[in-house]
Amino acid sequence: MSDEPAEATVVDLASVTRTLRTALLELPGILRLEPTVHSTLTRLRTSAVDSVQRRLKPTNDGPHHASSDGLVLSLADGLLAVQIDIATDIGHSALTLAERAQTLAARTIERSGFTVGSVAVTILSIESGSAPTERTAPED
Amino acid sequence: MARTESPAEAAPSPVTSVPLADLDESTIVARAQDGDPKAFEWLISAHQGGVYRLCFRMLDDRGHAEDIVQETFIAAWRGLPHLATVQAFVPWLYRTATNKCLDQLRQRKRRPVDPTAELDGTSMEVGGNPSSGEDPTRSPLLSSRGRSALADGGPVDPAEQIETQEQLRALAGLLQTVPPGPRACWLLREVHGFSYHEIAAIVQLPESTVRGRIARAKRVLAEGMSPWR
Amino acid sequence: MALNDDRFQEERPRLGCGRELDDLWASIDDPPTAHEQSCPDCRHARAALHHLASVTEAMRDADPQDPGLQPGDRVRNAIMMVARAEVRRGRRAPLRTTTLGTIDISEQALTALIRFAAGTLPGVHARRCTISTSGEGRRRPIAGEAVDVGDIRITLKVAVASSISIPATMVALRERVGTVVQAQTSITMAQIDIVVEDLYDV
Repeated sequence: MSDEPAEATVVDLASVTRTLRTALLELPGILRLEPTVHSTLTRLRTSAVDSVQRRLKPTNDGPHHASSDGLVLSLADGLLAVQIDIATDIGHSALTLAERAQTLAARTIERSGFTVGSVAVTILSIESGSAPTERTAPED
Repeated sequence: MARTESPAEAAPSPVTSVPLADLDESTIVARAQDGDPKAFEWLISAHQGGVYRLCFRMLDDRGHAEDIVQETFIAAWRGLPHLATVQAFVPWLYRTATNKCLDQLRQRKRRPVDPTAELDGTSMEVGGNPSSGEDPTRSPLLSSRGRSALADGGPVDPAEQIETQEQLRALAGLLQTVPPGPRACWLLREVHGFSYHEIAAIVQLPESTVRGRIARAKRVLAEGMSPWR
Repeated sequence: MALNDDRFQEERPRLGCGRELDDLWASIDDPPTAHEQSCPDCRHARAALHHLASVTEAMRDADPQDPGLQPGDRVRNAIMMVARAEVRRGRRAPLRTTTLGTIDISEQALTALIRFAAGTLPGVHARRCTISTSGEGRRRPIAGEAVDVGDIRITLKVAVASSISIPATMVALRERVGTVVQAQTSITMAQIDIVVEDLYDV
């Protein structure tokens, strides 16, 4: 880990998204960041807008939205709003985990040099910790 | 049954529930109806093989059969919440897959030169011979008296295994000469074990028509199998 | 159904002697009748059908065991990718608002949790689960809208083992569901209705 950026340089949203994703997935009890239609659509829209912007205005200071599965970041008036969609392990209280995710996200955002607007968390799945690829169905 | 309950405080959270494999299938279908992806994945495991084999025997093309399995299950996921009863699920799957196969065979007939089929060289339908349509007229077995090649043959060959393999290949090949409608009915009855009544619902035709189609398929197949016995 | 029969009615194949092939097939496993023994059409057809029946049986047994007659993994993966992307999340139930923002749970996650909790009791197979609030009456809930968590009522349909005591199980079931939901989400449910819709044999 690098030192705390005292003079925070504003990194691009995509890299914050990646950092945030890694941090959240390290939180014990978070199984996945869950893709939603919203995060998928935002991603598609962002890349489309992104490429248009690159073509029209090469010096544009970057998109105001970024997303990956289960994460949507939007920047408005200098404030960064985040939506996080999580799948949690039933061995942990989902609500407690969601609160931890909120705090962790806020800290991560601040370390990246952004000002936190809001961090909303939605619990999309609570699962027993077995591997999601487990297959028990019989073949006929 | 309704009753208000104030739950006990702070009991430990249990971490084991009944595994899907131990549930009755109706329960699993009900859960998939409620949008449970794991229940749905279980249903895929349980039924994709059967649906695939139906499609493969209908189309004689692995890629196309896989495409239809995929389309069928995606349609199932979307349609599950509206399914009237859990028992309707399996017939629904087969109906959707059968219809998609029949549609595809109709398209092949319209566009006889199918580059994909030519590539793997396995399709017996390429060329779309119009006489292999809904009513084949060749039926020497049933019209000619005095053929004896088939009479009273029992499995006495010592190389029975190899022979069985050859016969399976022969049957699979012959099946492609049976018109699509009768072929679907025959497969659903003889290979997949549906009743006449269920097949009538699957192909949306009267039971009498289903019986007729299966009989026609048997005629073509029984006669065609004769050189191997 | 019968009205348009003519349009669909297809000629059923008959043997040279006039007998319907389907009739012959129906009695294929019985000993030949006197007619079948004397009629060459029937004898030949019986032999051919017998042979077809045995090869068909071999196909029925062999195909499911044939690894070449299974769809590839890419099929399952593609289906599940679509299914996961299209999971119907339903409404949202707000759980808490902190200084940072809101925390909520999707209706789908909540019903799955309830089914999971019910499934931890022996002899209970949880089926469909619906969530309502007393305020909404018969109105159809809209996906994405918020549920009043102070007033959550659930209806859970279950199949139970034929061997269990239903009244005692229902008491335990309500308690278990209430406890698990409380521990995971802090929601205290106003009402838990349980409908036993099926029995299963153990």
